[in-house]
Amino acid sequence: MNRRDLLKLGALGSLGSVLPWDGNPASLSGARAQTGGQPRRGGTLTYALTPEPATLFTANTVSNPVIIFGSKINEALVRLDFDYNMQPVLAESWDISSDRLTWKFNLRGNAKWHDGRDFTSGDVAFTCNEVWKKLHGRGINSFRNVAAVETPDPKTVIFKLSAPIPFLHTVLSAHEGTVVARHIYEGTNILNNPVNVRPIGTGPFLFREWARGSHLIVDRNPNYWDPPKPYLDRIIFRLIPDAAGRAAALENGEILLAGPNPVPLGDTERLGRVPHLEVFSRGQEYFAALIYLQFNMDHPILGRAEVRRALHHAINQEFLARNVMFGFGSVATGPISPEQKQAYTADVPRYPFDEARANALLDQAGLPRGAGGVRFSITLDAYTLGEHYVRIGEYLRQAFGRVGVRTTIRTEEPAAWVRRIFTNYDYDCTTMGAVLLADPTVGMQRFFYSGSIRQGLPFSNASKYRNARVDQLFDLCQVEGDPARRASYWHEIQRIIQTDLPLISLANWHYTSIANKRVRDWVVSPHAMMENWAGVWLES
Amino acid sequence: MWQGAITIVAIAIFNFCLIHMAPGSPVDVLAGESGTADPAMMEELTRRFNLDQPFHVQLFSYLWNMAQLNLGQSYRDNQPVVTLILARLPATLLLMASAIGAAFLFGLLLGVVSARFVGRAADEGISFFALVSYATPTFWSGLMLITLFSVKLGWLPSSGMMTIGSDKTGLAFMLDVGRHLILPTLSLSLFYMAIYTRLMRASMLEVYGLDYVRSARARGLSEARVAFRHVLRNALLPMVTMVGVQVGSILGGSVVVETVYGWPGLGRLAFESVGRRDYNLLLAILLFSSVMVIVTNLVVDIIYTLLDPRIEHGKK
Repeated sequence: MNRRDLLKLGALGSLGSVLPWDGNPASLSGARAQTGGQPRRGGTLTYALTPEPATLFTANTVSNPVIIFGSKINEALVRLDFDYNMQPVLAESWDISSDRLTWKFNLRGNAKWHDGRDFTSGDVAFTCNEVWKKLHGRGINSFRNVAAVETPDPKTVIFKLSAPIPFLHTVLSAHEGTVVARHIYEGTNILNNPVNVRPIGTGPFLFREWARGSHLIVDRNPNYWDPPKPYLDRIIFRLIPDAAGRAAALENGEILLAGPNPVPLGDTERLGRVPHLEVFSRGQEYFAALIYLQFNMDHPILGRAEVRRALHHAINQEFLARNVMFGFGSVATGPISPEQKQAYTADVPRYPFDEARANALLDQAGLPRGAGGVRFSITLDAYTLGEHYVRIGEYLRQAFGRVGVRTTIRTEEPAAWVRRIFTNYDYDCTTMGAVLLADPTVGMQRFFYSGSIRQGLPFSNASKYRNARVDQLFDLCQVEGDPARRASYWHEIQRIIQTDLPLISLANWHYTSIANKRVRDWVVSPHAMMENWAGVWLES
Repeated sequence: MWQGAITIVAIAIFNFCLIHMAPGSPVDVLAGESGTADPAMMEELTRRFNLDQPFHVQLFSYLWNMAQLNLGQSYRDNQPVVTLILARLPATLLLMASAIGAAFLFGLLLGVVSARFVGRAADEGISFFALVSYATPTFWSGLMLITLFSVKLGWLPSSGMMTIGSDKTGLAFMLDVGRHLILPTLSLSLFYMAIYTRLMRASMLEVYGLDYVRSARARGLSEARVAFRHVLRNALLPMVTMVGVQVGSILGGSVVVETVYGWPGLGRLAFESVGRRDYNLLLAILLFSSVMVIVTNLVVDIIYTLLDPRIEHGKK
């Protein structure tokens, strides 16, 4: 029984927003779009893409809309299944040496670029050496230990590592690892190549047009290497700037698929009750998003760990996840997402909701209530890229007020917020969405590692947290090849951070996508929107 | 002419200072959007966008480029801003022409009817309707129209300018665009129509009270001839002034309506370029709008002389 079925029960219908939910994203998903059925050829899929991409060059980007669009044209070597094991795409098979320093991939014999040239190992080597390692925001770190990329023959590529990269399989998927054509980019200024706005790939769809401010279109590639796929004739990516407009287009069938998080949480809940629509958290697990309340460690009061612990006791995380986040969140136990199964542990210091305890701790910290019952006043910045950050801020204002901490909310548009938090460090505390991705080294380390205290660098360590042991453990996790030992490092990191509490992990945020029930077989992996959609088909 | 040119330069300098006062730079935004960034790459971008120069150097190089009609590249789209603006211009012109046209036509009609039947049921009804339309926020009426006509009834598309990928041509294409145009035009024109109705009504009533109208009636002219030939023409002058002011200002696009209906016009481009701190693009759009305001003022002056031969140019 999925969430929507529950909602259909009349007695519970009106209680939609306070339904008990077990926190397991799988229970939020309909099974429908994953079950097989006989695929049908033909039809046009309409997808709501937001915001508009700045470029269509996928191989160096970390921007979701670019990857979501570009992954239909440019493919990666592999994709990930729900257990984060590699599944073949451009690589048919592979062989990893026991010391995990040599990764050999056998490539598709019949894959061709859209301009007719053969896809070869040279393309992979070129993309890795010239794009991923030099121009990719995360790739510069992720691929650092790739010492050489060997190409013994056109259909074999070998990655030689100087030290193990325990997360290499995750960054070889389409989210970080799309391959571009060497014959198009070699010897050119890669970032200004005109092909970047009319991409050429090996994928199931051919670039057709980009009407800025309106839409992008890709058409079926009749010569795709995996016939009879693709099933769709065409995909139209509509650029609908307004969330209410996207909701209307989903309701009246103009848009068949949208996500992740195409509309605010309240609307997501409402659209889940529309008969022809379905809301999915399954297929978005890869983002492993958390909502943090980050403190400025330079603040005279919030800089003290005992004060932060007291504030944690003042927060009812259950209430927040269920009501403020409309059930699209669950209680976070620490800075690592439960989706990151290789690293997560719940065995960490916890701060259960207990206002009496919070009050006692604040008294002990020498912060007695003054006039009007106020102990001290703080300003809370709410990140504005998403309505729920403000709602969460409003809940926190109320929760902190009850223990005598007067809180003022400040909302600024994203550019000003980024400048305030990460360049000027001019804040007391801020809510923040943290996308941790498949592996904590790639997505989570930057918020806690002392080497990531980089003034002016967005989404770095702006609480200025420093702990020598944590730094050491992060360094170990970078290169530890043994999964069990690496997990033990992660567990220790979580315990230390939950003790020091440079930030409060408020909630796991379950990203959602919304689909018309006609759209079938698109939830095939934890980053379903970034797959090539060769197997997606439309029911008539 | 000189006045116009000086105004434009002053506006350009003012815009430039204003935009650079906003916290955050295009590099912050690009890096922030990506969620992760590399410091070396951010430095490189800052250099490429010329943002490492002192403020006055940036301002002078902007003015110097502007004098040569070079408005620069968009930081984000990596394209000349003129190309981006010209790509959005037709959509904005179409929406504005239809909205202002509809508002003018219906405002005029309702205002005249209201003035002819002042104090009667028709007048009361029209005044009430005008007041409600005037007080309704555009984004709300936009959403309500979408909910009614495209979600509930399914008669009209909810957003966009045409059926994408339909490859329609000729008449079919025009009809398709027309269908998409109805709702945005309606929500944008409601507000202006309310203003025009009230303005026209007041202005008609004022002219009705003038002596020459009485003498026209005394000469035995029909009521319709008095209304259209003698009153309407004179009552139009304030309307033309108002329309002129508004045409100039909304040629820059309507942010709200374009956003709600996903209309690919200039207003959305301007709005998005604010959030992205795309200075060059935003400055170019603002400059373009100010030129438009000045040009429409000239056109309005010319229309005055056509309506009222007593007004002549060059004679004070």
